[in-house]
Amino acid sequence: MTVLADILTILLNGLQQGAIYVLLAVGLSIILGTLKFVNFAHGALYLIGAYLGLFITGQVPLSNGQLADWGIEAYGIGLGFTAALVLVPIIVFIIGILMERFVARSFYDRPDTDQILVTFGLAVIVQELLRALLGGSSQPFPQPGWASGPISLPIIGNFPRWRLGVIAITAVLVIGVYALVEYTDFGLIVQAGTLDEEMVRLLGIRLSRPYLVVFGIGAALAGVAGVVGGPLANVNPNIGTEQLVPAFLTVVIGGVGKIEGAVVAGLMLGTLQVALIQTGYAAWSQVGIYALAAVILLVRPQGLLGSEVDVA
Amino acid sequence: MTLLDVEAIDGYYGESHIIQDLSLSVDDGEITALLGRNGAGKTSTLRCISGATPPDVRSGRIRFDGVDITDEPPEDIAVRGISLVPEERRVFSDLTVAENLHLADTVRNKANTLGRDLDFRDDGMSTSDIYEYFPRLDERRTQKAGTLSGGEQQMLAIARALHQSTDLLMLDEPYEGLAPQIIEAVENAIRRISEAGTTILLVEQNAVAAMKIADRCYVLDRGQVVFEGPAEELQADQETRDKYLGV
Repeated sequence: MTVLADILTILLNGLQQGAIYVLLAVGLSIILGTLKFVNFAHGALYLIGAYLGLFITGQVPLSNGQLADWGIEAYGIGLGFTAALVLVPIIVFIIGILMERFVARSFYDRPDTDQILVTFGLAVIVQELLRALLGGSSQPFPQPGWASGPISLPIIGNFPRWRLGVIAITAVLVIGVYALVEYTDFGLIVQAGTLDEEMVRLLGIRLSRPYLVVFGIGAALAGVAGVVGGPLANVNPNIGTEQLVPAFLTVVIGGVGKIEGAVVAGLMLGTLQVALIQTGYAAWSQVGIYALAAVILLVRPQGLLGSEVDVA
Repeated sequence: MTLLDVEAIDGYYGESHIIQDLSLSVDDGEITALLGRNGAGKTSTLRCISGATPPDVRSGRIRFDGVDITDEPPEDIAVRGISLVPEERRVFSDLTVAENLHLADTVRNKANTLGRDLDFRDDGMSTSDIYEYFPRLDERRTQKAGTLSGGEQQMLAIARALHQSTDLLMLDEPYEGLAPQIIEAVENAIRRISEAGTTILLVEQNAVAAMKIADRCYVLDRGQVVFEGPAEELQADQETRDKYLGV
């Protein structure tokens, strides 16, 4: 292996690791920027996405948990990975809409601390419910057949095909959301609502419907992150909470409400983390991303691409 | 004919009683000015009419074109034909001039998908008419609103309001922070809008400038009406002017 190959491998792995952060952070960021809602249950949507993905993809044997105690030996409908990739975002979109209507909406006018408490509580409920029903053990998430195994790349050599898949799926989705926000009337209303909600309403525009859709899209992205991220590691009830903190870091580093910001910040964090792990400093990888976050926020409190009004 | 009828409203910011038993009426086609010192309740009155909260209107009625709008949300009141050019303009700084104007179109285009039966009395001024009215905005269509000068932002805020379906245009301190020759340009714009048939409710601290163009004036003090009458009457009433306006 040459030094160049090492560097390229780190960059590509960083891109893949960052892609998961980006998927989570884009949704979190537009929800925070537009609805001013702090959603600590965003990780739970990732968790739901991963388990739903497992359920739709194959048959998962149950060894412990309440369902096993009731004599159920396995769960899953075995439709395959592609079906999961299509169905999970739709289902999690609906979950997001229900969450907006029945949980988030009544908390928009309440302090951030109330929003954090209620969404964090919701996240714990989801996590512990899954643990109680399905057991706490880790489940392997099979890679999709069409993207398993290595692919031979120039200079780098063999690289896991699925990791490229994650990067590609993320790119397509993020570009799609960006186009929706930048080039449609819906996006224009969302952008204006982020800047001055009351003024938008004074123009005669009803915001409840666009807000509902924003919440649904953010949730769907988190669900997709669970499905594409699942095959990269094992699935267990803790993965939602584990992803929540880096996702929030990505949002604040990138600038609240900025899709481009979430992309840049997510890729930076992912690359730094992978670089530290692959150069033998795995123990420092967590310290590294927090240190990077601290330095960036000291220099630019509004985040890399955030506008100064967003801080207030 | 009375277009807007505000009848004995009381408005509160939390527990503070900011608007007290206030009544006023605006006649179709006229320019009505709401004058008074800083903190007299002028902006709060406009907020009550537009449906913005706070303040909360706890008693009294606001009728527009005969319909009770007291408890309607701002988006419904706007669609009825009341538009507000708020204090400090509040243009969307990160959006371009054209996008700021286009927001009003989204209400018309999305009328059905928003699940509302929209019945506009008029369609608002067309984009091409607006650019003809305000050539400076035409030149700056693709520029972000935040990069415009104060006078240009004021023009954009007025244009944005006219692009809505507007029967009653409410202007909150349109001259604030503008250089004298720009004030004249805004004044001319207001005159032309009025001559074209739009009713105007103007809030202004600059009482001398406002009396010049108003038909009728109200003077507010501590949330109450202390004078109402034709502009000429207020011009001649030196006692009221000394006591409540300082001019």
